[in-house]
Amino acid sequence: MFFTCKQVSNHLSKADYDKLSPFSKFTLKFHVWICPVCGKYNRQVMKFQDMARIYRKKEEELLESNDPKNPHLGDATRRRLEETLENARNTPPKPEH
Amino acid sequence: MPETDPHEKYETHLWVEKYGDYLYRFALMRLRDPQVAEDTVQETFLAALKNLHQFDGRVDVKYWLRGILRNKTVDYVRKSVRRQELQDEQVQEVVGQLLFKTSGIPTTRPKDWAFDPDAAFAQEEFWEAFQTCLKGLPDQMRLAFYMKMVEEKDTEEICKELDITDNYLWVTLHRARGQLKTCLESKWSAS
Repeated sequence: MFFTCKQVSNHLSKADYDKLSPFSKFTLKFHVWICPVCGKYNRQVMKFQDMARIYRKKEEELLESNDPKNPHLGDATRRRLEETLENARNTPPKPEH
Repeated sequence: MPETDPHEKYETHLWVEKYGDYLYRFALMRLRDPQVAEDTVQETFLAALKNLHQFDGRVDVKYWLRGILRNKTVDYVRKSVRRQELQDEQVQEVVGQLLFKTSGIPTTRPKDWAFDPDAAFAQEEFWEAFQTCLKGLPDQMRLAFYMKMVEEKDTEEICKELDITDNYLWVTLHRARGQLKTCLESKWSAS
């Protein structure tokens, strides 16, 4: 069984590669290897994956950073949240029926 | 031994001060709208207080709160996108029309990058451009990209959480990558 470019793209995008039989994996790899279009498409998807992995680390740094240039809650919002949480803490939980 | 009050144990009175900005930034990256991000953070704190008795302390409070917030962002997007815009048969049609001929041969060849991605990755400014481009995607598309590419979740799990089919996710991710590429090329190649 040989794959068309559409089927190759489908398998690569859905990431169901692991569910394929060994023979199907081989024919898919072979297709990607010999087909310039699928090879290029696959490399671009992989490049986006690299990008997303690096971004995940960058995002974590940004989330942790207290640099005032980064987005942060305004004073009024902070007060509102404090009050809301204070009220919630002081409200006894409703009995469950 | 008397049981410790969980509010004291987990310092719930300090949550806004300690985790407020962190959670707000997390929500803002996924939801874009500052008001929605603030509301989602508030909902997260309230849900966490309500379920504090279930928290076993095995992970840091911050990451527990972030997990709740992450699920809230997914809920928000799933509800805000009233329903899947296209039915599965239509998605198949779109896939066929946009990407492939009936024979399964692609209608267009992927274009080369207009810049060298590996060289760009080393520059901090590139990541600012990347974040701007990511924020420019529609909510559902951005979240699908986050879940699949950043969080590396399984297709099945993403489809369940966003209530979409795998073909719909496929088209969404294909479009997300296309839009990101165009945006990055316009922002980065021009600089």
